[in-house]
Amino acid sequence: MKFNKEEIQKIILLALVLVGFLYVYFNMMIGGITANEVKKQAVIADLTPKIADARKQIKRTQDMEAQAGSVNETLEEVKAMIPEGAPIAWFPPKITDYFKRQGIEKVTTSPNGELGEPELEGFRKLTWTIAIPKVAFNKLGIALAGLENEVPLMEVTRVEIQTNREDPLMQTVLLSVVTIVK
Amino acid sequence: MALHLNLYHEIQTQNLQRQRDPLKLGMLALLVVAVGFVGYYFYRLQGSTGLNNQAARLQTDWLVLEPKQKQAATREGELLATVKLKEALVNRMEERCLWGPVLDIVAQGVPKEVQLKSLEATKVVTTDKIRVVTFVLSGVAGGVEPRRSAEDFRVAFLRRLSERFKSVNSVPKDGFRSLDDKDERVMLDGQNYPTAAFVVSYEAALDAPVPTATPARTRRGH
Repeated sequence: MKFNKEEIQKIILLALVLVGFLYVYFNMMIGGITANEVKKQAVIADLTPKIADARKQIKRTQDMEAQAGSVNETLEEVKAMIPEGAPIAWFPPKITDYFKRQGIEKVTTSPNGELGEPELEGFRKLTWTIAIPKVAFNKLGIALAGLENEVPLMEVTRVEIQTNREDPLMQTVLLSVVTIVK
Repeated sequence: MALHLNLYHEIQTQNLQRQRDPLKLGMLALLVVAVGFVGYYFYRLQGSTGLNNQAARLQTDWLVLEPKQKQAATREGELLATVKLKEALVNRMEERCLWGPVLDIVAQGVPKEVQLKSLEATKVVTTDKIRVVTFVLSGVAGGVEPRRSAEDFRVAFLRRLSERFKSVNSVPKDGFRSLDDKDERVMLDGQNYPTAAFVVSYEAALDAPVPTATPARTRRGH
């Protein structure tokens, strides 16, 4: 098939129109869509795990909140065990009264200081020495066991028992104790 | 046979050439391709709109959830601190060394041949978080063989402590801190016996020791 000059010009013109059309189509129309899709896919990829994490976090907190009731109850019980006011004002009389009820007189309680306890936020640990100048060994054992049951926030960390020089049947006792206070 | 002449062959040739016009054919082909391209464009546009909607929905969700997540994280921190505090308090109470039973061991474990002069017991927590109670007992033992009486007491007391504590050791191991004969004599069951003064100490663990890894056996060559 032979083309004359006019036909060749038409074919060249057609080819130019085709190239222009393809450029506009792929670069602007499809290209625009592709660029938008890439952008949106990046947004989706970014937000999907964030939203999943957020939902998990909220669910976890809700579950914890549901269980927090018993924890708060325990904390309130513990706080209720600690009288208001300065410990020096209530702890020594409490110990003296307790031992008096057990038939042990002349008990002195003196403060020794404070122990650092970062785990117990909002509470303090105080150390005390309880001196009992004269007590029978069996009576001491019973009283000490009762005291440990009655004051669960107190721990005896050291017990020193010596035979009383004046009365060999009696003992002199020094107790080092730690109490948790507000 | 009749002669048939086609006097329009020139016109027919022109028509045929017009129909085979490459520009016209090209335009037709281009039109078909253009329709295909337009269809594909709308197909892609629809997919893109779906993505746009999904992204917009996620952004809206995120706008709602983000402040809630921050709030929840803060609250979780508070709750964890409360739980930790409660556990620390409960552990303090539960992990106390209770001295009533310990004093009962002392009361039950001292025979008539032995008189204790002093007892010191201290609870310490080791670096391995094992609660250990150290005992130092000093006293006087009497009998035909006062050193034997003291040794019997040391072993019997160790045994009694072992019933209550996880592991008990005499310090120094299998011995006394001091054991000396005394000049004083004591009356026991109407008889006069020599005496020996002793100091004995123990380390009693309230918790089981942390197991240590056993070294791997080395393979011996044949």
